[in-house]
Amino acid sequence: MSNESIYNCDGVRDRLALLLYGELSFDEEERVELHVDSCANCRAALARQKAVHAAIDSVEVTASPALLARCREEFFETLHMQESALSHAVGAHASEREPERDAAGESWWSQFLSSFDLKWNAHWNTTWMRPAGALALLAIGFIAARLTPTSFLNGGAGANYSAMDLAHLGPDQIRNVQADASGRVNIVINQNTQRTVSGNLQDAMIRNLLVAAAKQSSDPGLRAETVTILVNGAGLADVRDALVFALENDQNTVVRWRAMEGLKSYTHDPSVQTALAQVLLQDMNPGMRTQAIDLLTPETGPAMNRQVVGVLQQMVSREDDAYVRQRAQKMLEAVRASAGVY
Amino acid sequence: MVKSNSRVVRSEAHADETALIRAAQAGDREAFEQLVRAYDHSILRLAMNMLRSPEDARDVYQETFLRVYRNLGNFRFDCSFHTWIYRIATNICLDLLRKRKVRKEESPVLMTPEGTVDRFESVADPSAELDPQRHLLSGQIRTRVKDALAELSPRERMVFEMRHYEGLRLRNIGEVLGTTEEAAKNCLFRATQKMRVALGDFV
Repeated sequence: MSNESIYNCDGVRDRLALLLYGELSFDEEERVELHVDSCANCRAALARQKAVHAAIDSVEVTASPALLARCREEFFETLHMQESALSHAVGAHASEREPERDAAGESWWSQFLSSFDLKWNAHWNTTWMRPAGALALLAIGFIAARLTPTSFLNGGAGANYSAMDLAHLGPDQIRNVQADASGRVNIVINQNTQRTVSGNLQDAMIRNLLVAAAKQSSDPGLRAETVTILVNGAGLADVRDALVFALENDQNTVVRWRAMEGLKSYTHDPSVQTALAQVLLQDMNPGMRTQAIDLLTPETGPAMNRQVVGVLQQMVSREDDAYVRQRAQKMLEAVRASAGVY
Repeated sequence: MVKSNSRVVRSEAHADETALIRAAQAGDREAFEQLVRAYDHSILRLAMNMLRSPEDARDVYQETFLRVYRNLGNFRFDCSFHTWIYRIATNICLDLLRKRKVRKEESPVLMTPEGTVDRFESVADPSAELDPQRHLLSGQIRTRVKDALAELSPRERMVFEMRHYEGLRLRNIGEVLGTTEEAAKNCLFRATQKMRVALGDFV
């Protein structure tokens, strides 16, 4: 590496925070790490930056379940009042001028939403823009095809990577993950050089990379993004296992929350029920505990895991948060299990 | 070697959400409520961290979901629903923060029926009680962090909040705020510099 590509101390210190957030480019990261390895002062500066991050973590706040419940209640009440008022006003208007809408059985809600479209269309007649838009899309497609790096065009994960390469990946060598609207995932890997592998969640290799990032990356942002992508494949057993792992073990609330959201359609799975029970017993965040109870609701009746019932009984006697305790009590009533005896 | 599957994969979760949005756009009230419940915890947490006030967070919640309700028909799937809803919530938070800056109304104390309480201490922070490491951080450092956060510009605060606490990548933050990844990166850089300077004596 040439001398001009190595940062001096000022250049390195300016980038330490972005290094910790995983937001430096591959080249920048290489330069910073190269310097830090050989400079004791900058190693100390990196340790101080980590301490700053820890201090900032210490003032994070969470919304209490009671506040969330109150917000929901207020909002749906407001919504109901608005709908009623609208229904009244539109009803009188519609009975005079638009009987066909009533005949079609369209809801007031639907009419309300469509009224915005009608307003927009009335003010902006966009028909003339359609041919121009089509031409613009063609031009964008042509330019994008010329500019897209070949690594994105050369097919699946295996086109650039072998299984042996993957076996030697360290926890932080996966630097970025990104999914497009079609479900295709791009994974940026630092291993001697930076490479991008692409594929979808049906590729076992892509899944393995994502699972490794979700479990091992030290960057909570990357873990959160990876879990968000994995949620799309929660029907696959190995993906579900990774989500369960994140729900039970991740230190970051956002990651655990997204993993739990991804598992909400799989509460029939005993491992998911067990993980939700762990959340109820151990998660520090009362919002997580409340959501865990909400997710277990469909499992009422004989399908509910006995372990979960046991946990709910503990919640009734031990839980500090009144709202969560009340929810646990209601759940137990729903499964017709006494809070004292099951 | 794994060959890429050329078939477009619409994941179950993604398809579920798309179906919910389309149903809500078509007037299905239950689908709309499910969408609200899927996102409201995140929005409330964002508002709490941004504004550090339960009453302001409640206002943000109400206003965000009323705007979602009113504009759902205009959502055209040209960005993710997550980005769209965050864009609405962050605009409302930014407006409130800017008003506070102008009015300088962010008093450290809050009047409640139970008496005067510290605005920052009036919100739940259960993790601080249970994580022994956090006990080691002195009250002085916590106060300094809170002061430093309050001194950031509204945009710096928003970018910092979304990156540090919400874990969003700069690319997504740029999308949410309607700017470039580079601009979001510069904003984050300025915010982290200010935080480092503010905490310089303590770490």
